[in-house]
Amino acid sequence: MSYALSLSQLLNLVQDTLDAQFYGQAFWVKCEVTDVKRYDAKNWCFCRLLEKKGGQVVAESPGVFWQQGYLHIRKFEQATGRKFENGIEISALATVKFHPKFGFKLEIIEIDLSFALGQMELARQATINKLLTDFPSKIRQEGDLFITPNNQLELPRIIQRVALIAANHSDGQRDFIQELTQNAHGYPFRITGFYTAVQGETAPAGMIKQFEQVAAKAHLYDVVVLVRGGGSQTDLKPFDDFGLASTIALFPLPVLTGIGHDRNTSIADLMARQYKVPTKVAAAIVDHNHSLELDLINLNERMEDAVTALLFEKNQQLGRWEQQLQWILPNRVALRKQRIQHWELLLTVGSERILQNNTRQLNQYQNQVEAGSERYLRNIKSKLANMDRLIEQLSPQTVLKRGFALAEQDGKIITDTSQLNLKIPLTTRLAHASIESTILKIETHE
Amino acid sequence: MSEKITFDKAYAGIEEIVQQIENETIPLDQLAEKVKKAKELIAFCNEKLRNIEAELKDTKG
Repeated sequence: MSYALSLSQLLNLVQDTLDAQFYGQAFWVKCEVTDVKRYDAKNWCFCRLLEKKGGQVVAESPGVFWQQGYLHIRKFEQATGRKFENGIEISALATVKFHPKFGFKLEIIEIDLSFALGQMELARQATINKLLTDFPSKIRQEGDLFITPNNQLELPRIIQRVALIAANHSDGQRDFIQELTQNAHGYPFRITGFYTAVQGETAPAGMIKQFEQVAAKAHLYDVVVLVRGGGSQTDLKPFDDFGLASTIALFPLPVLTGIGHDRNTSIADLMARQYKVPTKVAAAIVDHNHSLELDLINLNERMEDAVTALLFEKNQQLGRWEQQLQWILPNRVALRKQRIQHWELLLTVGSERILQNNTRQLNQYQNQVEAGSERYLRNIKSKLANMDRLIEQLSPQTVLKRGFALAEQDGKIITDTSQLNLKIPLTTRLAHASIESTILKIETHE
Repeated sequence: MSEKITFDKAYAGIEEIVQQIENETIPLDQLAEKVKKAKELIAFCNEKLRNIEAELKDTKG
């Protein structure tokens, strides 16, 4: 029978061998955590560390966080906003420990926060990319902002009927309701609760179901409020869920979110209107109604100012017209008088001149007429004398005296043979006698 | 005033009247009537803002 070592001797040997190899050294190792057991009072945490390939576990080791490492769990949760729990992938600084009684463990003394954030951001970015590619015509990114059908919905002018999606009895629920119902302006609200778990694996499906409940009676609500109180260790992972994000992005009522801390923005927030924390959502709703009340006051003031201004202006106008009338009438009369006087003057002066002119003209005419008429009379007298002489010369008596005779028949002077009547005697008148004779024959001369 | 008028319609009505008065597109004869109407609408909006009882009756069930 060969010599047998005690178990402790063997395990001490293992410990010595491992110490010889690993003492004082630490290694950065990438792994997933599972079976997380936390002892917050002691600041310890036990877990199992895994490496998976194609869904299969290919390496596994117990892990432990003592006080130093536990501090990094807290830092991890603060930085990422995620709870340190099963399924989380970390990059950790580990030392190799073996104890004959407690066995093999990797003791974690630090967690790489930038890796953790990077991992989270990668997952988040993958979800965002899927939203952008699955709903290309509806969801789009502009800088840090996302334009979705939901956050482009106009808020109703007055918000009174609120559908609240939250965890029942949670801080978020209580804070929101308290802030809203105890508002300083005394605005009334009707809050309808749609309660469901907002953390854990089933949270996204639960929230989506509640959204569907609200959508079924959408006409009864003005807005949907989604809140989640921010504890020190919050797991906001459900709010980065693709299904929840797309439900919110396409939801028919405006969604107002108050999820977690001031510094966290979940994908759900990006799809909706983000107000960071539950009380701020409530305050925003109260402010919204208050701004409406201020608008009403402002409209009323504007109207009263406008009416006052209008009446003042009309009154002024009337006054001006009145004044103008008072001035215009006497002015017009005076002006007319002036003009008439002017005309009178012109007439007086002018008429004298005109008279003088006319008189001169008349005198001139008179002279001309007098001179002209004498000459005219003289001319006429000589013309008359001439005519008298001519008439004297042409009178039948003068002509007869010169030896001419007149042929007459029945008292009419015959100038052509056609006038003759052969049966009546022809009278031939001489200067001092008349001869009656019968016509025997008519002979025409060429 | 009609019971069925909505808040948004009332609000839009107030805005319209105020603009008309400001732009002086209201005949002076109608001014008093329009102001009275606007005051009624403002009172209606204020009532809605402070009291949702009527709304509750409408939407219950």
